[in-house]
Amino acid sequence: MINRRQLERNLLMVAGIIMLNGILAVNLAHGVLNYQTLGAVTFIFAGFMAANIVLCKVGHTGDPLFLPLASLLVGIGLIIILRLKPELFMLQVMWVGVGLVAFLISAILAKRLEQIAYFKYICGFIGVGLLLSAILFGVDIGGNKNWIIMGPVRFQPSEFAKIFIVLFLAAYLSERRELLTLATKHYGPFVLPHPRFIAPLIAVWSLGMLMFVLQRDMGAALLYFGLAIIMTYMVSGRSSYVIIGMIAFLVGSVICYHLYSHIQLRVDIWLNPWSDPSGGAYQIVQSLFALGSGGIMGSGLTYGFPTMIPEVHTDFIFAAIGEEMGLIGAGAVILLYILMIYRAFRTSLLSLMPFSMMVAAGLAVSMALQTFLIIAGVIKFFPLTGITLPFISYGGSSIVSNFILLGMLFSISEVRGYDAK
Amino acid sequence: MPNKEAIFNYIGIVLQYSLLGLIYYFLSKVIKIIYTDLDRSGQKKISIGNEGNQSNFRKRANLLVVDSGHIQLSQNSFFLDDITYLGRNEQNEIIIDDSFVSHEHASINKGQQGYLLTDLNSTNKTYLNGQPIVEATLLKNGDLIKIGAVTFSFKG
Repeated sequence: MINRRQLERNLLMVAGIIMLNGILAVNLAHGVLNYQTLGAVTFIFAGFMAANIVLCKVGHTGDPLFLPLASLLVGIGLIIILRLKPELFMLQVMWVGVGLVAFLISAILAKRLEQIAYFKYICGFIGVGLLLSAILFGVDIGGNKNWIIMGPVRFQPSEFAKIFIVLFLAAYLSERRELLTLATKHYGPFVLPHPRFIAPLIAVWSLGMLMFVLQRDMGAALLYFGLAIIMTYMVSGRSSYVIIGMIAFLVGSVICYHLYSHIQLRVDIWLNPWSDPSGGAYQIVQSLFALGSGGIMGSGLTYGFPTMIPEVHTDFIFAAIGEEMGLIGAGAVILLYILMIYRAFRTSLLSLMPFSMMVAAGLAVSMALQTFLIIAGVIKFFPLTGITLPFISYGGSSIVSNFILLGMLFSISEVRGYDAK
Repeated sequence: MPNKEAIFNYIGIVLQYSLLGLIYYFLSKVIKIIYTDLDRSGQKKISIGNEGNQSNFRKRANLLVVDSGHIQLSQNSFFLDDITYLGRNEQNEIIIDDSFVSHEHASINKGQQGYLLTDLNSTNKTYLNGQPIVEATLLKNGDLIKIGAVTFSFKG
C-alpha cells in the first residue's frame, strides 16, 4: 500500500494543475497574463503542499482524500471568483491561506477531541450565543441580516455556530443514547420518548423558528433543525423522532407562512417566479436562465453572462458554474461533494468512540445539508435559502469555518487503536 | 499583434476543455482509490467470516462487548458455558448493572446445532440484530445481541 500522505500529495498535484489551468484560461480569455493571480495560485498550491508536509512530519494518518477534495473545490471557487469578481480574488486567496492554517490547527488539536465532551454545555452555550448574537446585533450586509461587526472584524456567526452545535449535540446525545432509545411513553399508536430527553431538540427547534422569523434566514433555520433531528435519529435509530420533527417543522412553517408576509413572498417566488421576473424573483429567474443557457458543455469560462445574477459570487456561485462550465462542470462539483460527504460518513462509521462517531456524523450531515440546501435553492428545487456553498463561495467566515470542520473530520479519520480509549 | 492574440485565443480554448478533462481525471483517480478501499474492506470481512466458520468447533464461543453504553462490565469478552445467564442479579454469569435490564434478563444455552438465545420474560426485551426475540433463537457468528444499553457480538 502506498503511503497515505504520498497518495494525498499526488492528488494535490493534480488539483494544483487544475487550479493553474483554470486561472490561465480566465487570464487568456481576458487577453492579458496577470502574473499576480498566477503567483497567488502558486501560493495556494504551495500552502496545500506545506500542509501535506506538516501532516507528514506530525505523523498524521488521517484520510488522504479530504485535503485534495477540498483543494479542488477551493480551486474551482478561486477560478470562478477570478472570473466573476476579480477585485475579490486576492482577498479570497488570503482567506484560503488563513483557512489552511485553521485546518492544520484543528487537525492537530482535535486529536484530543474526547476532552471537548467534558465542555459540552460550554460548546452549546457558545453555539447558541453566536446564533443569538446574530439575531440581536445582526447587521444587514448584502440582504442577509446575519453579520456581526466588531471593530474591524466582520463575520457571520452562524457559520461558526454550526461546529459548536454539532459538538454539543454529539456529546449530549452520545451520553444519553440509551435513554433516547429505551425510555419511551406510549401515546396511542405513537411511541414517544420521555419529554425530558427531547428538551434539547425542542430548544433547537424553537431557535430555528426564531431565526426563521426574525432573521429571514430560512437556510440556517433548516440547517440547524435538520442537524438536530438527523443526529437524534442516528443516535437512537428511531424513526419516530424524524416524523415528530418533520411534523413540528411543517406546523411551524405553516403558521409562519400565514403570519409573516416576507415568508409568503419567498414561497410565492419559489412556486411561480415568472409572475414577477424583474422584481422579487429577479435573482432566481436569472439563475435559471444562466443554468439553462449553460447547457451540457457550458459557455466556457468568461463567455457567459453570470454577472447578471445578484450575489453570484456567494450564494449563487453554483449558477455561474452551471452556466460557464455546463452540466459537466456542475456535475463534477456535485460529485466532489458526494465523495467528500461519503468519506465523512465513512470516517464516522470507522471511528471507535461514540462521541467522535457522532461528531463526524454531525459534521458530515451539516456539510451535506448545507450543500443540498443551497444547490437546491439555486436550481429552484427548494425555496431559496441564503447560505454559502462550502469551500467554493466567496467569504472569509465560510472558508475558515469549513476548513476547521474539515480539520476535525480529518483528525477523527486517523486510524486509532483501542489503546487510545 | 493580432497573431499573438490568435495564439492566446487558441491556447485559451484548449485550456477550457483541458480544465474539464483534468477535473474528471481527478475524479476518476479519487474514485479508484475509494474503489480499492471498498474492495479491501470487503475482502477483510469475508476472510473473517470464513475463519469463524472453520474454527467453529475448535474455539470456545464467546460474547464480545461492542458497545457498553455507560455501564461498567467486568470484562470485554465473555466465554460461553453450557448455559450462561445475563441480567442485573449477582448470580448471573454476565452481570449488567443497568436499570433497564431485568434481574434475570436472558440466557444463552448450548444446543445440538449451536448456541440458543432465550429471553427470560424481561421488561425491555432482548434484541437480536435490532429485532426483539420472542422464542429461543439460534445464534450465528457475528450476531448482535442488545440488552439494555449494552451490545454484544456473538463469536462462535
